[in-house]
Amino acid sequence: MSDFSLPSADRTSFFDEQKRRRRAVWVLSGICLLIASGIGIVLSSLVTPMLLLTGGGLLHLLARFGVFPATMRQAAHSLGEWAAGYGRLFQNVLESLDHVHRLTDLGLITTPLLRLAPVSVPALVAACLVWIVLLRISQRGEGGELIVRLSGRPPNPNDREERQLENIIAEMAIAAGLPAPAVFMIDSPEINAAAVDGAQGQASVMVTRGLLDQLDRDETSGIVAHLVASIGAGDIRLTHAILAVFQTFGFFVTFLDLPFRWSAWRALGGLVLVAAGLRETPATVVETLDLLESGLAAETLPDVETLWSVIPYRRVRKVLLVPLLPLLLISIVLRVVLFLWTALFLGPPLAMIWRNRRYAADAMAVQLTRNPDGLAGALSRIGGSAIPDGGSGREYCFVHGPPVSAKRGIAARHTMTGSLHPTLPRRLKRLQALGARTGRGERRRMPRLDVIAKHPGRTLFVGLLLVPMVPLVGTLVLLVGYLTAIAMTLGLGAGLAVTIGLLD
Amino acid sequence: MGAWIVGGIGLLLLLYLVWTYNRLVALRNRVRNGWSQIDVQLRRRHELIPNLVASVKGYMAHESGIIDTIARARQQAIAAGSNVEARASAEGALGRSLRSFIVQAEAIPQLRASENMMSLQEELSSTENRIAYARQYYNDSVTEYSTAIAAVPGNLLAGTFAFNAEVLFAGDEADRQPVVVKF
Repeated sequence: MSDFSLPSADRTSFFDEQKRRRRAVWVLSGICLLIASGIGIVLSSLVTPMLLLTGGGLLHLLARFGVFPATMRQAAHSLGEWAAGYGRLFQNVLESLDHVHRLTDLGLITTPLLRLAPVSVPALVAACLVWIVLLRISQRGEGGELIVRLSGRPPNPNDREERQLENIIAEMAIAAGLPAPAVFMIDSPEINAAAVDGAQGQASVMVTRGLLDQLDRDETSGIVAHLVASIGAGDIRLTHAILAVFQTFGFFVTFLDLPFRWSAWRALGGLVLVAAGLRETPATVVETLDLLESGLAAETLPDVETLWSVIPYRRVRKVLLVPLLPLLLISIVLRVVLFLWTALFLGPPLAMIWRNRRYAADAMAVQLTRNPDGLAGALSRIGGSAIPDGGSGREYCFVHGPPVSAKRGIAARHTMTGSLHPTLPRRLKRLQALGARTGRGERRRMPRLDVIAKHPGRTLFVGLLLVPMVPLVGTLVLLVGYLTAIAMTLGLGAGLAVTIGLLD
Repeated sequence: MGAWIVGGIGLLLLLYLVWTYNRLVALRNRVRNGWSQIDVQLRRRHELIPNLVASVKGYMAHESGIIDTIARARQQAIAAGSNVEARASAEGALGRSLRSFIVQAEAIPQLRASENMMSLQEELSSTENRIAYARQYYNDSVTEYSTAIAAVPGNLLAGTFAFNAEVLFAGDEADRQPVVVKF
């Protein structure tokens, strides 16, 4: 009678599980916020001069057209003075750097550095504004576009299975005390389902036909409960917020790329049109945001020739391009630094947040159905199923993703993490802790730390294995830090010099 | 300086009380919303009954006793209105007679095979599920609300601002009887 065996030792309640996951997400979000603002400060070294130049240029232009010429010139001049003040502070930092000979001398440059720090404020404020605008834009598009791309259709009320699905979704919405989401069917043999935001901000649920054909009512209820729980917890808004961070980085990199890359013009032009509400279909919104995001990974060098071929004479082209070469160099270095930061530091905690949210939605699904076996049975049957055709790049919307995600999406492009979804055995194990009896348990490939810790000999062995890792990781962090310092110094130095020269 | 500290602590205390009060209001509204959800689903079941009766009448004329029982239970449930306890027991009786009706209907071969009956059965079982989930949501909300108005500091505010206790939607008496399996 193994079915009625005593609950295992790590048995927990769905309320405790949810509380635990929520706490983990709070901690991880704090870490991510810190790292993201760190990246923001790195970016600010080039973005602040850029903003000052753009602002000053606009003011001079207004003065030229006779809009309060005196005031405008005065404002542009004070912008230049502000930049000049920080230029002097930057000089101070460089000079005090000359006195640093040992590691202990690093204390000497902290005071000048702290005094220089406010130079990043304009860029950080601008980044926040851009983030808000991009967030509002993305809320108008993405889900609807995915429904179209997967050719989702409304369920047929005369088909018994699809009618049952509608009933299940209504039941789960009642259990969660939420308005019922819209339902779309995807005609695909894969077993999968997704939660997205549809038109007018109404949440939608997409379910493949394969899921209906292969799962029974309890199992489908478990999957639907997971999706409804995910909608109720605000996961869709969270994905928009996270993606908007990457798009904000992409926006500034794209802006720097304007002189070198044709697609940068297209991306920013599209963004202006979409933001002004002129091209507002979900497809164009998504296309624009994707272009911005791909700015992070775009290769600039091959594009320089194509863009500059607009200018007829080769020699003229070269003469015009030479002064821009430092900018090209800085933007390439900056892009490498940005990639390293997102891949090494921002990506892993972000993926951990997402995995914790999946576990939390699983626990919430158990709370809604009071039937852990339903979801556990469904997950163990989903097994090798993939994302339906056309869903790649939006894996995070689905209940279950393939172990290694496809080419696009936040997982693959910006991070070194394998997947945004926890592996099925791990999820089943958590469900078993919540009382599920079905499903295969965890197949361990990783050694268990608590077992190793009990055995001093093994601990020593593993410790010895880990020793070479320390200098390796240390070197990596040091290299990234060094590269970051170079990029910031180059960007700030050159940027401030140009700004002061033109405005002051 | 001392006045500032006292004032600051007073302000924090006031903010905390406002926050607690608002939380109690939100919880009470959730309970009310939960109750209205149960009501909506029970009404859905009431409206399903004439349909059900019409589609089986031809086959089950001789067993009109059960149909009369259902009709009577439905009348009583409608009459109970929003009195939680009376409503719960009347709806329980209705649910019981519906279940025995389904068992009888399934015994008739022509009915069991008919597409109409199968979809009606799906609707009926979905309605039963909805009622169960609405009840679960309502009872969870009532539990959270009761804890909030009984615990410190909610109990101080609950007495002053008349946050009254709410009643759980109790399970059906017959549901609590042990299941008898006959061979």
